[in-house]
Amino acid sequence: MIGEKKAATEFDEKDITTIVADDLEIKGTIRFKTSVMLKGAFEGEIYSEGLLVVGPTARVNASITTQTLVSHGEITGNVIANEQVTLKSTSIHNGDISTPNIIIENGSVFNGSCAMRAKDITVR
Amino acid sequence: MAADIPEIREIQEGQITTVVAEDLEIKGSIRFKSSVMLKGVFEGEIFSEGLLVVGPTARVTASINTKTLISHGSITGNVVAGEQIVLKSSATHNGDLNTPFVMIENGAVFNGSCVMERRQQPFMSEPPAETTAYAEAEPAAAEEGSESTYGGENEEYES
Repeated sequence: MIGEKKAATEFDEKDITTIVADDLEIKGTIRFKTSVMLKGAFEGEIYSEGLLVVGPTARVNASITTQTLVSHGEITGNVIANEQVTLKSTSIHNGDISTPNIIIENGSVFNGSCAMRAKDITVR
Repeated sequence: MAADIPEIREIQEGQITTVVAEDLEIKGSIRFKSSVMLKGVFEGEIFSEGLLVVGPTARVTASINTKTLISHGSITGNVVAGEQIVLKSSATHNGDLNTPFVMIENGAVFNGSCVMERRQQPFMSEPPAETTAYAEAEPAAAEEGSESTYGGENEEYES
């Protein structure tokens, strides 16, 4: 299980099922089960049973419910992640986060509250 | 030149900027400029300046405004395409089409109306002579007409 947590933050773009390029603007609701990388602008709601990656050029304005979130870009909205949230050094997050595991890298901007539904609390 | 029929190239998935996988359901509106291939379920509106490909597993319920549409799957809704619409043999289309060029392959299901408007007249053999026929009304209204691009012919309308 520990191996899975590392894999959630280090992935290859080729392993991601859907990559939404940076010229796309989507408004609405997205549901998916595998993995999505957003590089464009998104507004609305995201429901996922898998991995959501927000790329460095992305601007996401949404309430997000997902298993795992890795953010390199800008997110405004509340996030509920059942497994892990990773805010990378280029990320900006304005909103609340609820997750059992979180990594906030040096350089990222986070404004909001963080509630950890504790099973394992591992803060690095 | 006569209006050229746009070539229908087989698009490789690797050339498409965004491929939306089958497990995605999107409801809402999408805007894009390059190319998108939808393989999942989409409901809403699509505004595009480029190429939209609807894959065989896709179910799209949307009003679509795009430059080019290639459909292998199911679309319910009206489509306005600036350049071309191609319905492949596995495609099902319920809705209207508005485009200058359309190709419907054998096997496709199409229920709806089709309106084709083309900007350029395709059958003019001498374009300069023909266009002066349409320019006549304007210099007559202008009354000055000293700047006439068609020289001798407009002098008849200077009163």
